[in-house]
Amino acid sequence: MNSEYLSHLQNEGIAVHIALDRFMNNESFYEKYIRMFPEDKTFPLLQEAYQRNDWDNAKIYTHSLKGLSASLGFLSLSSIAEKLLSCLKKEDVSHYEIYYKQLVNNYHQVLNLLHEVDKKFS
Amino acid sequence: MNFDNRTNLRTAICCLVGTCLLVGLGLGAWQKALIVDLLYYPDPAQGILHADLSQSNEFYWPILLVILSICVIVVGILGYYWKKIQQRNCQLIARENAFQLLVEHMEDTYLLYSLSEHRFIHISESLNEILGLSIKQVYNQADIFFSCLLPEDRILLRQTILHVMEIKKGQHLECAFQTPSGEAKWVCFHVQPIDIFDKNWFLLAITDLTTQKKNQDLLKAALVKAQEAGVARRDFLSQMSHEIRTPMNAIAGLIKMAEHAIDDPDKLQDCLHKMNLSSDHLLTLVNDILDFSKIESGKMELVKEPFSFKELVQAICSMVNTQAKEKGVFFATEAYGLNKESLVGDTLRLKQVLLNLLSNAIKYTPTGGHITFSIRQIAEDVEQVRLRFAVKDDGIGMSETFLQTIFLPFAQATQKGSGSTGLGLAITKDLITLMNGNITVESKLGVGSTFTVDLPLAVDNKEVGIQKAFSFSSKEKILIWQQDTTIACYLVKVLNSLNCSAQYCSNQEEILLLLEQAKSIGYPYTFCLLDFPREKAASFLQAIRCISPTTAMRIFLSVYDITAVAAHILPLVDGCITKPLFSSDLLAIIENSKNVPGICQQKENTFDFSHCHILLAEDNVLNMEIALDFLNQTGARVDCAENGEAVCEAFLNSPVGYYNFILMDVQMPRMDGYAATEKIRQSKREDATKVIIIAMTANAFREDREESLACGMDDHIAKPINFECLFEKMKEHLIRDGEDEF
Repeated sequence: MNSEYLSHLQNEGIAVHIALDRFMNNESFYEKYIRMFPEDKTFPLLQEAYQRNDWDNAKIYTHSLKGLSASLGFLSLSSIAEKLLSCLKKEDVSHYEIYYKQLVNNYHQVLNLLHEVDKKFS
Repeated sequence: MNFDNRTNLRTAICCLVGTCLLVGLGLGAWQKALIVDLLYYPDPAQGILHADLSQSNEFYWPILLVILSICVIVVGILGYYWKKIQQRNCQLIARENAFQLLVEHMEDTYLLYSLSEHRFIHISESLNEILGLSIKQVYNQADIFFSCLLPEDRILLRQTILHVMEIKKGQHLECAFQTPSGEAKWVCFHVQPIDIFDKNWFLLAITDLTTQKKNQDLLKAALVKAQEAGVARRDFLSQMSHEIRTPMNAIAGLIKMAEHAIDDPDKLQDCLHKMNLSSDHLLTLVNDILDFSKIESGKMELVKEPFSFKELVQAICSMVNTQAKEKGVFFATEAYGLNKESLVGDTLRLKQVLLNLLSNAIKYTPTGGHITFSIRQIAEDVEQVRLRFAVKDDGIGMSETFLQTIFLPFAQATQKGSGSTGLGLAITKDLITLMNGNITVESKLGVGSTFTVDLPLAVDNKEVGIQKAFSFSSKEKILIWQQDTTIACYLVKVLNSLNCSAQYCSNQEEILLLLEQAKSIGYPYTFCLLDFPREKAASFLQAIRCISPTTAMRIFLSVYDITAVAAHILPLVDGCITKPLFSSDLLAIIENSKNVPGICQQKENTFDFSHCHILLAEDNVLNMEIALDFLNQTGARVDCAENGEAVCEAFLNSPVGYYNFILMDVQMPRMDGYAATEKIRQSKREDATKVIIIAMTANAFREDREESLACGMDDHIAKPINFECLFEKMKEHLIRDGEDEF
């Protein structure tokens, strides 16, 4: 891997190699979208839907977040989103709460990581 | 009238006739003599009665008649007794026949033994069938029978027989019996004295209790198991209520603490962090219980979906590596002989099984310990491969007693302070069984444990064989050194089948020697794959570089953790490849590193869709931007739509034949991809059925593909999108449609 930024992310547990394979090993493209991830509106929209108890939209945004995070190599975030989506589809509200909380935590962990790595390499 | 009555009647008539005859004759003779005496001999002294009859022949016939009558009576009596004897004999024969029939049809075996003669005088035919003994031999030598008993049982039987003969009352005795073929039987001897004609006999009735005993043992075992399960379930419930209460109480307490620390952000943050840990633990508990109840009720269904085995293993290793690093445990992964990388199975459950075993290994291996995760292909045919996963650690290990209950549900929960539900391994075993696989464990307290899982996985027949995907145009000469020779052998075999000249060596000295030799004959190596040298890595690599400079040979190091490679090593090699080594990775590196050194070279985007108009339907902005960037690189002209309605509107308002492709996200707000496709296909435009619609969904299940095709889409690609795959699919569709500009 040529990008130190990406190497660092790989060391922090982000599945950079898997994601890069999907990005045709185009490191610059991948790095560009990783850096754009904190600005993506999917998660804030999911939070809004959750606060409004708007489960239909919550499903759509969770689904989006699941795909996006998997694309970018945030596998644990994607995995939690998958579980949350499964609960939403089954209307399993009790577990939804638990997974949603996990998702929020994991999302912030990813953002913190990206923020720290950004600071280091900016 | 029956036989007896007829005989009696005949005999009586015979005797009666004889008696009448005798009396008649006697009276006749006497009367005649009296008359003669009165008429002819007035002097009684001269009468017949007083005459010397012996001198007269006239009186012989009555005597003869008397004798005859006596004979008739005797014959009658003899006939009577003869018939009686005959009748008794018939009865005896009938009884004996009936006894034989009874004995032959009884399940038990009967033996009659004479103590005075020391031999069996009767043996039922079933002896051979039940106890496998030759009847003839037992007749000849009774000891053959008794020698099949254990010495202590033999003594016991002897005592029982003597006692029975003494008290004249039957007894029974259960003991083991070993047949001549070595089969152990459990039998019951009923010993009965025979008190007839003062014979010293006893009857030995033998009942085979083997099956009954086995069933009893099974029932006993089942009862014990059921009782244990009941106890375990009770313990589990009490343990679970404790386990669930602990994090719940912690969360409740932390909320109270947080309320009092509203003005102290640091303390508040600490409370939230601890709450997070407790809720995570609680979630694991609840998930395990739910999974287990699903399996127990038979509601767990496995999905069969194609997946990349390599990606699965890499994802697992990535997660486990992070955990291992945090704990300071050394984690190594090895893959042996994996010919198929595209398989079919339930990835979610397979991942759950492997992660459970690996997490346990980390949990029970102290800092500084080692964990090895190895994957080996043990069998292969056209339709499936059989893989063996082994998780080996040098952790705390388990006792023999604990090993016996390790896969039982709830068993571990009783281990106080284990911090687990006790369901993890039970769920793992059940899932493996559902997948038609099996799991075994070997462990020694204080030494470590090895869990081995054998699983059959179907092969995705659509996969292009790993080897077919590569063809080396120029002849590569490759040298491989791996500490595990099995892996080195396998890689050499794969490479040689692809027109390479590959060779492996067993130690570092041999590497230098082979490199020197190859150079001296003017046929140097072009590629070298080395395990990371444990000692003096830099000087060793420098020695290699002295023989084969950077321009002549590429060197790659296979490592468990790229970050562990020291900075001064990296300039000496062309790159590193993470273990486990997959053939496809190695082949890709050899192919991609031909001209430019370095790992993971960017793949050149050689796809040209400059003559294509593409309508991209995607509701997520970032996903849309990513796809747009890649599509723009191919020269395609791309329009975007953020939902199904927008897609239909863009298509229906475009000139006929304008769009070649619609890349359709399935789940979108307002109108989903399926509905949009149906609307497009049902429109009466000339190009409504011609435009190529490719579904992009988060799932790669067969049902998703079928659903996409059923609603009119041409193809399906799973998200996250692998752009190379997408472009290949688009290219195939264009070729199929007769556009051969590529």
